Amino acid sequence: MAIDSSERLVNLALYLSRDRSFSTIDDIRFGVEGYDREGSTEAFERMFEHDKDNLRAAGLTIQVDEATQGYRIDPALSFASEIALEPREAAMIRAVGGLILADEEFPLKRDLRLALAKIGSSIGGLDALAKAVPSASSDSADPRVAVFEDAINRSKHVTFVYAKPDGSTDERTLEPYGLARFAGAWYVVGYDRMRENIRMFKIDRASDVAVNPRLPKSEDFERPAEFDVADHLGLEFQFGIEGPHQVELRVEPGAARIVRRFMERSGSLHEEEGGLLVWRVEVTDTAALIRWVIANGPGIEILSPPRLVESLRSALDRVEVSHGSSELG
Amino acid sequence: MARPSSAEAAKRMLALIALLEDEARVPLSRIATTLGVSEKVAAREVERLSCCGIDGYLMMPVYLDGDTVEVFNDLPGLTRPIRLSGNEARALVAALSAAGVDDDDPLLLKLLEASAVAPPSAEEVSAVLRLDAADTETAELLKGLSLAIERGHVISIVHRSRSGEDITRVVEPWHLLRWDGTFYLQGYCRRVGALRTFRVDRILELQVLEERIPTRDIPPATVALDTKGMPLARVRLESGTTLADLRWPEARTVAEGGDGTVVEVPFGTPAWLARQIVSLGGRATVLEPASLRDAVAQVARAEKAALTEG
Repeated sequence: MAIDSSERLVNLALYLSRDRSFSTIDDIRFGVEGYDREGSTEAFERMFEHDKDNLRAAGLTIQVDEATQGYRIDPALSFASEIALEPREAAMIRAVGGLILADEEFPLKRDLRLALAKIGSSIGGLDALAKAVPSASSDSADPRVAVFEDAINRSKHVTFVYAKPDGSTDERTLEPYGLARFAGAWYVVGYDRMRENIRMFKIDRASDVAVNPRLPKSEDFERPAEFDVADHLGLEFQFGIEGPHQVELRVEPGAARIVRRFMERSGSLHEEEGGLLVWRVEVTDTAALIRWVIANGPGIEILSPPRLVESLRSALDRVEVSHGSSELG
Repeated sequence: MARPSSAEAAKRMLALIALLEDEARVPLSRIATTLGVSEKVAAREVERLSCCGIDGYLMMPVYLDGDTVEVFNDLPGLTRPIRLSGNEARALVAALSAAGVDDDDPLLLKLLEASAVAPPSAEEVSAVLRLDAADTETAELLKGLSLAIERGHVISIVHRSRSGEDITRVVEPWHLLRWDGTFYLQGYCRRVGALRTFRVDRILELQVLEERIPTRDIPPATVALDTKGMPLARVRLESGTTLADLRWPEARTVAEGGDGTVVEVPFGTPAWLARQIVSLGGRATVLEPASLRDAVAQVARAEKAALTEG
């Protein structure tokens, strides 16, 4: 009787790990419940090859004995050793794992769940995960992110239609290298074949996203070894079309804790006496910079250029006028 | 040939075996939540698993008793946790990096070396996938906060308020939350005698006290940032400024006109919304309440004063 192929895979895993001996392909065909014992050998072999791939994808390492052409699951490479975690590390993995799983936008949720299930005994049970704090995201998942993620993972090129800020559209062919999310949006960075350059695209502006369907098992390109998606990320005020302006900001120690992660990503940072930090950074959108400075303040001050200090001053004037006590602005 | 869904089911069943080894009775609900499937799917997979075995005998000694999975004998194989596949290791690293765990944090190294097949380096992972990452100080705080919450210890924190003051608060920590990539601590603040939500990256110091949290009725965190019962502000946005760009939790448009839109914004602390309004440099105006209008004017004056001093 035909059994479900997921059962056959589990049977195969159990069979290959049952003792330390190697099993020949015939042992497997007749020992593992779920293989067709009467059909053609070619069909069985194709199925077995495919099953081995699936077991590998599940984290099992299959060892082949050259002499006997036998197979077994290599215990040392297949089973995790004990992970010695401090109580606070285990507690953090439970808490953060639960929170990220509750984030609709996290593109690797399925794999994260399996990872947490596998290390479950090392992190001291999964009850905290099961109690996971619900929805932590502001939006529902964008399916295009998963498409790009898959293409990056398999090194397949992607075609899509990209809407430019001016409203016109462009067809693009991209070798996607990396994916990033910040300030609530997803971005993909990769080699644009037509522009012959590395470019960044905002994923919510892409439509008709399609992964190259040809030769799904072979890679279309090789990602440069030194590639780091962080090198291509801008900050909120680096997506404009002005300047660029070289801006100098002074950050008090109390505020620095809040914005350090931004400061470390771009520009240069110098510490002055009293723990004051001076940050020199490139800006292409001054309105966005002003917004950033105030929203993350107090304790962040624009030192130069003077023109930008004046823009900030007049922005603050406008706010004061429109919120004066006399009447509504 | 196994369809992708069968391969996924097999992956879950294999991960499930490791979950079963420690306990004789496991609630089905926990299995479902852990594997991210419905209880119906979990039940089907447990039942399939109970049909698996070696050579048609030595079956998995597992059966489903209502909503509990019973393991009644030694498992025939795969009793040790299976190593993480490349994709699983990648997902784990990406999740922990989002919490500020650094590429060379010993925690990541320990996890990967012990549990992954051909462990990817954390640098490799973060080179291709990066979420709004927290800073490393936040990661350290999250470790301490998670444990304090689980063990029910009262904490003392120094928290930087939106108005820039550093205030020491004794807090009974209840939950960690995450919204829009940022981590929050929710708990009962003894200083104000009420529930408060604190951004973790605004906590400057954390001290876990010996004292246990007294039995209070701790409500489950139902929404990441629960805006129910918060006061509402009415704000006019100039045309060209859209709510989607602002990412104010649960804000909604109530009127649209030629010269802009009027939106309703729930706010927990006036200091937060006041700063948001000021940051828009005149493109947003608070219509009501009057107290928030005053708070906005005050933030604008304070920022201007700081400019003049500089």
